[in-house]
Amino acid sequence: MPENSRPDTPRVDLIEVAAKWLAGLDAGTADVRAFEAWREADARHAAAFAQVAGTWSDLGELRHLPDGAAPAPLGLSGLAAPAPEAGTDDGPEFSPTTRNSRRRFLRTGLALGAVALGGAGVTYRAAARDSASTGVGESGKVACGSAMAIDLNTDSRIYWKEGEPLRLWLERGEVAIHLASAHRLSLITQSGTFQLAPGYYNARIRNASCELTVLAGSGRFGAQGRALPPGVTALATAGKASLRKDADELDRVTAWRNGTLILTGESLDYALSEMNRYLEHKIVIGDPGLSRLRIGGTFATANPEEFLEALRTSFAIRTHRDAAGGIVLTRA
Amino acid sequence: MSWLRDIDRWFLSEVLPHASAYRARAARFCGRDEADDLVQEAYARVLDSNDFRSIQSPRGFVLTIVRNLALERLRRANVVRIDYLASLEVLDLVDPSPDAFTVSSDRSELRQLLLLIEQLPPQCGRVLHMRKIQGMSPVQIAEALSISLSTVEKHIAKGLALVTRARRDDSARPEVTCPKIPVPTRRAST
Repeated sequence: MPENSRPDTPRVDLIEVAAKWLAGLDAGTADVRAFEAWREADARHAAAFAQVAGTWSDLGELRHLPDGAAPAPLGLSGLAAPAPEAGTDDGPEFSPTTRNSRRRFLRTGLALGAVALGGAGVTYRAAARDSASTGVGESGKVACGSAMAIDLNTDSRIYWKEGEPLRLWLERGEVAIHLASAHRLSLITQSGTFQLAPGYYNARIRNASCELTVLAGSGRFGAQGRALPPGVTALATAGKASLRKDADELDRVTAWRNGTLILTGESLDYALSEMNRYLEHKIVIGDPGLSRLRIGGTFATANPEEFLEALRTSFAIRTHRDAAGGIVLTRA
Repeated sequence: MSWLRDIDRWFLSEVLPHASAYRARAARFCGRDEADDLVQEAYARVLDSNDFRSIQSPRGFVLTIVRNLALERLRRANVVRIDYLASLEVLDLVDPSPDAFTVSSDRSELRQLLLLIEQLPPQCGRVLHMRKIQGMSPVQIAEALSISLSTVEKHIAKGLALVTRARRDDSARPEVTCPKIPVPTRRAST
């Protein structure tokens, strides 16, 4: 039976063609104009491309799969490594420390850039913000007079401005904030603004969200002023916050200040994404089947060797360095 | 993704999540073999519409297109299976709550996606995993695996096509239990 108006290209091929375009666009090798011309040429092309793009963006979601919520299967957790020597800066003084060779001490006005546009006039200066940042594997400290002290974790960037309240912008990465009594702080993130009372807080940017844990003190979030009592973790996304409270989590949240990563049965995927935050040369999974192994233990973030050794001995995982210095994990 | 137009984003958030409903309806009209083709054609019509923002109920809109396309095809066909015609008569009764559906990509769906990646050919799955889950750039992947950038691209394209198709076939599954021949609307009086 003749089918006169059927597409001359079978749909199966269109999905393949669309996937090739997307891979080319992703790698930066495709000619964007040629791609647009192809898409414009036939709505079936556009439909195929949209479906492939849907898969592409859903695959990206996998990175945020909350594996920590799943219980650790027996026998796969329990990797334990000794914690590195404890840090010395848990007190409120925020004195400079040398416990981590890569830790740098930053002080307001020292190695900090004022973000001002042109001019040296007072008005410009008044509008300027101070900034501090850390590279991958580094950590830093900032003291803002006696009002506020901030620890920066790896690969982080902040801006702040004195005033009442103090204002702090967290652009990327993670910070621990000590806010002295009689001061208030507006913590401004891409996901919304937190109003914080004196206390101790941990804030971390996670993709499009910001996670704030109230270790001590209290705060409010967003236009509605949602209350954040001590002990809660608020995950703020696009002006909305979801709260959770988990006493065990508080230790995990602050572990980075001692240079450690605490895992309690998370997937290897998650473990690597956490560990890789600190590593210039990333550890990657060369065998997708490994990604769902569950890992438990306390590991030093400054030295991945201990973590890798645990993987080798407990899971018979082979590790090798590629040409670029990255570490690839495969089954032994 | 900068290479998506507004209409594509709308399509992804409003139209595509209901794929299994379109597929089921199309299958009822013209059989499972042709169903996917019909749905693809419906997608093309939707993406051709100039005024997509004014579409109140995207799901209902696409279901109607599916029906009209099915009707066109049946008219063109020389031989029509009688049960498909029967289903055309009653189709307006079938859909209980047009857009009350909320479809979200929940965790089970994401885990399903992980399974699909694991079922890919090894190198293909490895590359897609590195790119999308580990967030490595194509260049980094090429270096890590000592392969060329164009090979990375090929693996990504292949994996993406396989996963997209596998998901589409998956989406057909929940609706398969629908009765093939719906109950007639009018009963003969006795």
